[in-house]
Amino acid sequence: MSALLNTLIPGDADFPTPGAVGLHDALVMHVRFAEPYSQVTSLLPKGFALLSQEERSKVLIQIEQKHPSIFNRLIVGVYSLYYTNPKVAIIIQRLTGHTAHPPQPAGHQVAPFDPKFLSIPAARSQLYRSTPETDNA
Amino acid sequence: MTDVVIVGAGASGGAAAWRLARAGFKVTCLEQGGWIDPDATPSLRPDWEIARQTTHHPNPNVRAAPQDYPVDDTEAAIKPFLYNAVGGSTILWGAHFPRFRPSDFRTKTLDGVGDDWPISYEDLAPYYEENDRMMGVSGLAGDPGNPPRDKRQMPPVPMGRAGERMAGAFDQLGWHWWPADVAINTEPYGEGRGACNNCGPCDLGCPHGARSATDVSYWPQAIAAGVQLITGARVFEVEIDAQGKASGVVWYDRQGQVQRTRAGVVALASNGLGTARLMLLSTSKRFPNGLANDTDLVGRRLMHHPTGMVTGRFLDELDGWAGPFAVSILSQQFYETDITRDFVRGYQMQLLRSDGPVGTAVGGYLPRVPWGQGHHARFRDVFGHTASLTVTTEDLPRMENRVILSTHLTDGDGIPAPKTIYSLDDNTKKMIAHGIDRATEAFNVAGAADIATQSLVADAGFHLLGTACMGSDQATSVTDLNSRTHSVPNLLILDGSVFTTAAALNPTSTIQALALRAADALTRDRSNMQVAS
Repeated sequence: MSALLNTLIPGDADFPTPGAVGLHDALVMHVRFAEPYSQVTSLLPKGFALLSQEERSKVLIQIEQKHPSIFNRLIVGVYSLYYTNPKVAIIIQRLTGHTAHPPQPAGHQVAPFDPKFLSIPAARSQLYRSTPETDNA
Repeated sequence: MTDVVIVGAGASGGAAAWRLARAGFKVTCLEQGGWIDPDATPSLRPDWEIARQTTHHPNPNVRAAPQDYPVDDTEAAIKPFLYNAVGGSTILWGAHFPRFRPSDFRTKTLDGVGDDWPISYEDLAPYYEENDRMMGVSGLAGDPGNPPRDKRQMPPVPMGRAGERMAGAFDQLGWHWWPADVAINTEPYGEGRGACNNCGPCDLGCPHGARSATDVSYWPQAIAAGVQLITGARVFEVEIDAQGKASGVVWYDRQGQVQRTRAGVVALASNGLGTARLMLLSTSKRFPNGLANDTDLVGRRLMHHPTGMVTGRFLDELDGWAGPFAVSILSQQFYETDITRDFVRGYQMQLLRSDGPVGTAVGGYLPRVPWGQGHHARFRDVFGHTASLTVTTEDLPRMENRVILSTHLTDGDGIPAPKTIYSLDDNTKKMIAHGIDRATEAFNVAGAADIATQSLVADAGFHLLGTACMGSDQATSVTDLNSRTHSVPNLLILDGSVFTTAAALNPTSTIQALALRAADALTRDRSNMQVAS
């Protein structure tokens, strides 16, 4: 089944293929994503794995067009499990600085709000419309 | 027997329960969900982004938790988002906390569209202040786009690199912008609530209690004041007596057993979808078309806030995953009606930060990263390099936009699910188109390398409004100015169902201010209150 998954996410010099990080096993065990994975797999023609990458892509485009809902659910599952895989998360951290750890409990460092930015907007005149009630307030 | 039974423990239910209990009422609140354990938030787990796509998705049809009810949205351009728990949809909100403007209450008088509210901004202003104090608001007074208000409880949330860049663009264009008012602690505030550590996904819950929700703001104080809160209670009927007064509610407990709570006053606080559903379910000889539905207005005039989205990609890194995802700065430059434009009313532009790796790849603000060759190249281009402006428009009421009961969908107890029927009119489409052009202009000035637009974000039905509208004319509204139904004197509607019009702003602070005001009106009228015999 790596042929299907590796066609969806081919991998490159930095990123591994789904097959290299065990995505098949993760998909078949997932309570929500196993079903679309099984459904799309059942739609693959015999010998799919023997086709070239380009030919496999053509097959998948046809399946996506005929079964958009199932295919969409599979893509959500593949992307979700791939990009939360620890090996992939470490690569993203190395490339971008985005932490491979969950967002909590450490959070992120961001510069606090600086009031200096408000010199122009604070000098503007009233922008909201008055009503009879605001005029009398 | 209780003095008041409230159905729903969310934004409005929590606020009203606290206020009424402090005024001496015996209050019972029934909530179909349960308490959310802040230490169970997925943002503490490596699979936090999978939770966003599944168990913590804001669409109940995707989430499909036992406490949820399905929604038939097959005829709706916007998909409803909501949550069922103590705290309601504040459990997964972004905590934007603007107030309506004075003109939002006078659309008929000022612009000849919609209807005027029976109350004004000035009537609500003291309740906005009280509600801000209870929820805790970060921001800055002094916004020229809004009437003066008290000093915010805490300073604004960080702008982030994208916020600084877009603020500069707005300044170059001569447009209004201001740091958003948000119900997120930038300093410790409230009972045991810490400060935000800029983790990002506020929608998954906050283990520090920094992002406000009524389960950490109103509810601890409401319970201390004596409110009885019953969870796992799914109400399916409001009962009336022979005189047509509300006498209590009937509900399923977690074991599926039917329970009954008798009350002097029934208050519905289940959002514009759930409340309309319950009223339509509560038929009787007196109200064959649904409770308090003599005028066929219950369920009608459904309003959301149709939203367009413009996302700019920058060549330099913006670290948009850091900081509260939904809040930073906003522009109300195009909020009020301008007769030189081809539409009435207006919109707000609100800056969003960006997503984590899964959210970026699956798509949302931006189109999905395509599968196949080039997938990772595109992922590198966009991840951490984008910011988005929402174009959030006024949504004027139309009778054909409505909530009805589904003929085939039911919840886990066999109760008919709601169905939403919703489309956009030409005025709204013109507003969105105008807003997309302006937001694109802002991103160009800010130096974006490329820009993507969405003319309508379908997954944006967070605001469920107008389905039991407030008004002074009994023939054209469901409740009076104090949120009490015209035809059932001891039935209150506390949630966004009562909105006469929707404005172009996040509604929660207005929903809660209205709930506090309704509670005070009930307290004032207590000695003259008509209750069931």
